[in-house]
Amino acid sequence: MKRFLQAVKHTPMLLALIFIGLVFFPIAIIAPPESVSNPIVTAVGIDKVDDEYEVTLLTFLSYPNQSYSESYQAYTCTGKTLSDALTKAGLQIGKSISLFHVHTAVVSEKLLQEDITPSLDYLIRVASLPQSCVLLATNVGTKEFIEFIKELDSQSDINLEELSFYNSNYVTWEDSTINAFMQSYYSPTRSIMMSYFPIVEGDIDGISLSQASQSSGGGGGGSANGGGGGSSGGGSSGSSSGDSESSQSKKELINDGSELIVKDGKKVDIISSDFLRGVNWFNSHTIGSILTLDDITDENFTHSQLIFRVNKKHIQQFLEYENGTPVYNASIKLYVSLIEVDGDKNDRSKKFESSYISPQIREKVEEFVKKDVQMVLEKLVKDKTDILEIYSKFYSKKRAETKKFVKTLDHVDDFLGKVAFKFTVTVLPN
Amino acid sequence: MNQTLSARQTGVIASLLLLANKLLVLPSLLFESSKADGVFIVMFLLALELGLVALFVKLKQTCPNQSLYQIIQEKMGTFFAKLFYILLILYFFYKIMLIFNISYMYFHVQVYLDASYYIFIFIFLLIMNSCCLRGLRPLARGCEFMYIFLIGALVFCLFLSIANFNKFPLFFDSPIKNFFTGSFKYFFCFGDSLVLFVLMDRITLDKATKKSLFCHFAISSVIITVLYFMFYSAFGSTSFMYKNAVSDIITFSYRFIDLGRLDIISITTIMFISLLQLSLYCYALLQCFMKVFSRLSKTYSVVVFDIVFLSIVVSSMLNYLVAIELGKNVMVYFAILLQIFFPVLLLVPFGKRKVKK
Repeated sequence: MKRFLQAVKHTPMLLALIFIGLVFFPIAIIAPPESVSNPIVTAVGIDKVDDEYEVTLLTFLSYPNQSYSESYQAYTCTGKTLSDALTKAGLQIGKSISLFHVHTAVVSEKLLQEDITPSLDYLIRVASLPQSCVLLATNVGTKEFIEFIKELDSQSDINLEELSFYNSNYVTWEDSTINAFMQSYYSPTRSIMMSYFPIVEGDIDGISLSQASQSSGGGGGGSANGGGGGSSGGGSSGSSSGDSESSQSKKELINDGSELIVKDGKKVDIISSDFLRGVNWFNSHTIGSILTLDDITDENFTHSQLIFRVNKKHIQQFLEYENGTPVYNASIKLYVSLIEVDGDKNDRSKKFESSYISPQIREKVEEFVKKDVQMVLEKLVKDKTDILEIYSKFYSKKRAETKKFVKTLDHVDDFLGKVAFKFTVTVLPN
Repeated sequence: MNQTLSARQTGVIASLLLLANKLLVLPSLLFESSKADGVFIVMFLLALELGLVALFVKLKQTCPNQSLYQIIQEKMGTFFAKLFYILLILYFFYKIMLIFNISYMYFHVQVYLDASYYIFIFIFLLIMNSCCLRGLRPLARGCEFMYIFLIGALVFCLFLSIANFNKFPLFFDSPIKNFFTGSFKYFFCFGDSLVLFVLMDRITLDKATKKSLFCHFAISSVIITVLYFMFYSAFGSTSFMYKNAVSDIITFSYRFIDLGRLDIISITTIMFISLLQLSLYCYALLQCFMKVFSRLSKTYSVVVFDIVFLSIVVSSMLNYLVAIELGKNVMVYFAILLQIFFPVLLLVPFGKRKVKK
């Protein structure tokens, strides 16, 4: 003991360690687990019902079980403000709501009728929602959407996070996060594309889920619906033709590449996957686009439909001012491969190589791309939504001329309409 | 016992001190001041800091065996020596408050939402006291041991952020006067090399020490500059919203979401860096304190420091925003006086002394 005390005397750090241990070790031992006082919220839905915020929280419930299944529960609460709704949600379940683990935030189209930025600002700055949280919109109420996702996850292991991740990496090639949204909101043109996942009733090309009819109804504040695994229906992918019982309604989550255009934090329009393909011609990261060329007639094919896949893409952008007018000059090099031929059987016997390219095909591809681009530009100019960030590109490359040019306009939003676009498309075999 | 530092320990201490108050809030504050040109502000201020280190080397070469106190005493008299050391005490004390409050804010937001301010004070103060009482060599050895892990973790954070590189920051988008205003306002976040001046009698300046000092300084400078560049490229126009730069640059994209909470790396790193910086500043402060109040022993000096620290923290309800405002409005003048005016003043008499000889 004496030696120990001497050692302690000569080692103040040891004394500090013992002191800290004596104070905090008992507290740590008797403190309840974090999961008892804090629910693990993985998704949050924000909606407006009768001028009140409706917040739905998808929470992971941790309790010991002998299976590998994860159990989630959805809680909904309303309040005059978001903090009010979140406080009420905590009150309902007897836990303090913290949003550190939220990876998906859902807003309804209805909420997007007005600027959603203040709500998001509250969530990331005050409630500490991670900025990498995926942000998406849906056509139905967020309560219904989160209920659907809860069932879908438990029945088929398809979750929103993975769907969004796939879209960001293989469809839109842009992050659809709260951070990306806020960045666009504070940019000069204030426009962005946002992930859009509608839920529709019926039998369409989507992820189907049979739900008991009573479970899909809306409800008042403070309602809680049962954990996952309770429904008898099975999740299936793609176009499903299975019969459902009369007591069940069939709903499908549609992920067809459609996106929502948002400006000033409000919804402007919903765009189709064809439109998105047009947008992607401006993005050098996007690969895998499908080109469907109709009525190809050349030395090998007669009135055939050829389908090409873009395997590689190089875009060189030249931004300049010609006689005081901004000119966007792009040279697009596409490395394509023929993946499908739809036509006369003889055509296939003649030529079916993935690297097949003919002058007619080059011409058609160029026409195809230019048509896509034209469609996109017409719409964006009309809506004054510069989701392509053309203004920012000019501003960063030709700042003095752009500043001078913008002074001649009524508003910076008119800039896109004044730009002359020139495209050169070169098609090469992959 | 005059405990001297090795060449590597000197470099490591300079490097760790240089990271103080620059990894979390400052990128965001500089963006508010001058947008992405904050990178140039930080580079400019790092260049000034390098000048301070060069001045330290010059001073050490001229007076290899004297302490700073003795040098000032010889050249300007005891009054100026005490005055300079009192200013240093105030400046170091402010630096401790700033590091403590910024670290507290960071840990509070990232991990310990329910932990109170007083628990943090209790833990930090205990470790700072222990390090000060134990002496410089154990503290320097601790810094030396941890350094490679801390720098490795910071480089790893930067590497992850490079994988998420999005856009080139938009430079030169704010008026040139904002550059000078920003440099002036946040000058108080620099001047960490003043600690080396206080410890100069514990440092043996040879070729290896000089090399180590400048190499380690370069490592920290590169890390800081790359961090600011990546931060502004990741967050662009929303950089003002994010106050925890090191954590935010690795968590802004969900491409790494499957890897869980990656910011645990930055949290651990900041925890150790903050503790070491606080201990070094506390040690330097106590050295100054014991010079000014030479009758007080080390233990009593620590007790006085604790009482003053606790009184100010408890009575003023200081938080990091108040500390930064204090820095912008008051401490910046201290910083200019200590980092520019006094070192220049020290140089003049040396010139005269050489002429006399």
